[in-house]
Amino acid sequence: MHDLRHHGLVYYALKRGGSLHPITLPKELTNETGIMNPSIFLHDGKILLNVRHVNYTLYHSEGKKFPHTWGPLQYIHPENDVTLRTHNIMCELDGNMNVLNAGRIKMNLDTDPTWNFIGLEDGRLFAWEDRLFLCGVRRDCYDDKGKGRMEMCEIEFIDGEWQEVSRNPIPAPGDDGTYCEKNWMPVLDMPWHFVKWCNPTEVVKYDIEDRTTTTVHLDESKFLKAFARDLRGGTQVVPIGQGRHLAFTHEVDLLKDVFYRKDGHYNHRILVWDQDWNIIHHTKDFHFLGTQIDHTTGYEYNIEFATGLTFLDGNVLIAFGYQDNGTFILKMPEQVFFDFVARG
Amino acid sequence: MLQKLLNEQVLDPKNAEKVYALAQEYDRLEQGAMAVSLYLKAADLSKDKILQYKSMISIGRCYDRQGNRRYTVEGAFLDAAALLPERPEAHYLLSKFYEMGNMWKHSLMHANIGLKLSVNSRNLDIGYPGCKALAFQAALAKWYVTGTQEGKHALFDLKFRTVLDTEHKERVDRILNSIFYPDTIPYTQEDFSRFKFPFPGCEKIHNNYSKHFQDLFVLSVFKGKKNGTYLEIGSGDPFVHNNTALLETEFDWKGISIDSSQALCYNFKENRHNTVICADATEIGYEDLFDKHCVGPVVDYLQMDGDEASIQILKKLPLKEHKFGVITFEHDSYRLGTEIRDEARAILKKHGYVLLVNDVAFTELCAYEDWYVHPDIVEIDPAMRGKKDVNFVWDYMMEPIA
Repeated sequence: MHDLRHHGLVYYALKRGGSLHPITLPKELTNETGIMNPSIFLHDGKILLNVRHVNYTLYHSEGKKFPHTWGPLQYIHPENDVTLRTHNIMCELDGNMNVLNAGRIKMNLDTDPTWNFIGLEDGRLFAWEDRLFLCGVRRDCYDDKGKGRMEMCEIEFIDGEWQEVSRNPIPAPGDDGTYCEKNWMPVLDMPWHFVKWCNPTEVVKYDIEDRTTTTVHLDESKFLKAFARDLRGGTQVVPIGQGRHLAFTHEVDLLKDVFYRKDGHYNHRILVWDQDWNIIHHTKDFHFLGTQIDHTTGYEYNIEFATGLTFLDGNVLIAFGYQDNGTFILKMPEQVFFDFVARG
Repeated sequence: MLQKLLNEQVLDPKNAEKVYALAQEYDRLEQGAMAVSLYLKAADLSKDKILQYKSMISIGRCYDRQGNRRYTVEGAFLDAAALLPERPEAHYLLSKFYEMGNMWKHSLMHANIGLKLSVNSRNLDIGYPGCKALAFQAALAKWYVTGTQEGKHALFDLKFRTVLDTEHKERVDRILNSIFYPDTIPYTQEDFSRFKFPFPGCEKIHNNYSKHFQDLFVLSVFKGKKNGTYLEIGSGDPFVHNNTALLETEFDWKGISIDSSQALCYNFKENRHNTVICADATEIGYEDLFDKHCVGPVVDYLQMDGDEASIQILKKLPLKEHKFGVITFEHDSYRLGTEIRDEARAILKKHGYVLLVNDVAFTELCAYEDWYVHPDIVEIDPAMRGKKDVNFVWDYMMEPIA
């Protein structure tokens, strides 16, 4: 596992027949700012990839030699725009992961924002009952304090472009009293079900008709002490046979430098659940593209986020964002992937 | 290419050169955000200051392309300058950066630092256009900091004494068209190789004093004559913009200068050896003056600078009894119209003078003097004839730069 810890999963995969595919988009679509947190999904015989495009470019000095004036980790917006805007760009890919076409999803149901995080963030792409959805967090319509809720955004290809056709805010189960819900993972073979939280695993069901959410599985006695950090949502939850499911999750270290300026570090992990939502297997935590290590503190610094996973022609396709600035698809032979998962 | 570089980098992830090469490819593909991440990673990974320097500069440029991220652009360029303060590129970019914000003193400081450093710097291939671009930045900033002639001179030198690329040439032209040329166009020894009418001793002249080459014109006509004579009407300062200072100090000419300003005449007496008379040139009896000072029938040079009164003074001169080898006659037609100029031309033509350079101008448009010679006294060099229309003095005197 040495190369995994130091060089990342991508290095591990490439050494074993995998390949890494960079996604680039025309600057007319992006103004060269960040494209990140992609979600990949096979739909109607097409390989679709939703890419989150933001109006900032992350500045992250992993090695701390060249921090920004305001700190080692900064979101660099236009200086006259305090908003964090997200647009979703839908891409169709060919079998070699080349972008065949790309265009911004037209959000027909947008309203005047009430907060400065605008747009549907980190949308996971999936279909339930033949309806294609993006599901992510939206924080621009509930109050002026940043309250966020998961939202299912139904999209269709109409008149030559992807368009939002319905918008379905998802309340938190119970009294819906939480501040912000995010990173719920849709369970691909269980319509309207999400893994809301991983440890202990909480599965919820959303009723799209009456717009209520119910917890259908939660056993707090199953909390695993093996993990140093919270396990947060990542990709879709995909079935892998025998009632088992698998997903990439992520973990965050929110750090401060000596001047108390924010910094951060993300790890990923793969979880496997049995048919009763017991975590029966997990990998060690890892990065995709490696990281730089502070040799005096042992801290690592890397910003990555995987939000999409699918299987195609004997390979697993993992879509992840790097530093909020770049988008990649890692292709791994299934055998290599499951061997990696099995090693733990 | 991107795929190839990406694979190479992933399989050698701590190799800063490979990270940098990948960053450059993203940059070339106008994928600025990812390029920023990789440049920063390269800078963090590397111990090579040059690579770190190039990375930070490239980061600044990527953010600059995205627009409206000035603090970040500035910070990246400052990081580069702090890293290798002895290199010019970051100073050039900082000078341009501060220009965009009209922070002219900052711009000037970095341009001047860059100019000091640029001579021996090898090209780093990061889009630095070279020391002439720094010279442009310095000139521009100098003008906006001071608003003085010094700033104009710097821009003028760029236009006429420097080979510029098209972009900077157009910018210099635009600026000079809006702020005008400097009041004076001095000659320096560096101009010698381009001087059209050299004469013996010319090569030793370090600088002249006239506003627009009048002293050099006189010496050219007289082929560097020593011990000539002059009458200088409207002498002004003994050296600044003075047409006879060079003749006296370097070529031992004698003569009489006249000015109405007591202060300037006092200054003249203190600093020059030749005679100065403080008087209203329109009220002088010139025949008496010439008698008193034993002025002979031939005087080599007459300067006529009486502003609106030039024509009145000209009419008072004993032109039948005295001939002048060269006359520089100020008519200021660009502001007073052509009446004075045309009347003077008629008078001087009647007395045998040849208008060698008509409508001498301090820009391509603004004519203010005529330069005459008398064929009885000097041999006319056909090469010294001016054009028929306006003769911008720099173009008249200097070969264009190669």
